[in-house]
Amino acid sequence: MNRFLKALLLLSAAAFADVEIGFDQGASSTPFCGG
Amino acid sequence: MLDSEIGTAITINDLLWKRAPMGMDHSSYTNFKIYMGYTTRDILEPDFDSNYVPGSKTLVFSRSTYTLSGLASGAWFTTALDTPFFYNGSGNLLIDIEWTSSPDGLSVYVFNWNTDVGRSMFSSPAGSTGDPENFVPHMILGGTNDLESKTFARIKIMFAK
Repeated sequence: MNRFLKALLLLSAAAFADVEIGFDQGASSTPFCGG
Repeated sequence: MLDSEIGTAITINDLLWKRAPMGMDHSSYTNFKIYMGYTTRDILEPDFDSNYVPGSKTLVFSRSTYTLSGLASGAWFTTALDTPFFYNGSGNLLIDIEWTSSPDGLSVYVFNWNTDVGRSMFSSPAGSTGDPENFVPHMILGGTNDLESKTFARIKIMFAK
């Protein structure tokens, strides 16, 4: 059971993969683009 | 987005943008479409479509009118894709946005950052070529990674040993 729970925990941690790129520096007004 | 920045395979379900504290909290866009695909380039070329790895351009979001409203300043807002895009973790990701007009002329501003090189392209009116820009939106690729159902079995076996 321990092994099963560990495996499950690994999976739940890996299932979400939001990736944040960049930071707040300037601002742009075109639909969400650069420039 | 560079593959080194993304760092993982991911099924992208949502694109999140961060509203900057200026402009309006609402707007609408006509014939608004988002495409995604791959590029081998770290710096984009003016011909939009030449940047795509051939065959990789995929329509992931389309609205005849795309309306945004009630966007809080400094907060993230989400564009939920119609069609999730599987990014395989190798190669740079292209995000390509087009629209024909913004009928009310209102601007929503989002935060961006300076990449120091031409990593975005802009053209108005829309043409086949654009001007290089150094600024790329601060954004979140919202999704899940590329685990397949068989991965669970593999992990379970690994632990069992």
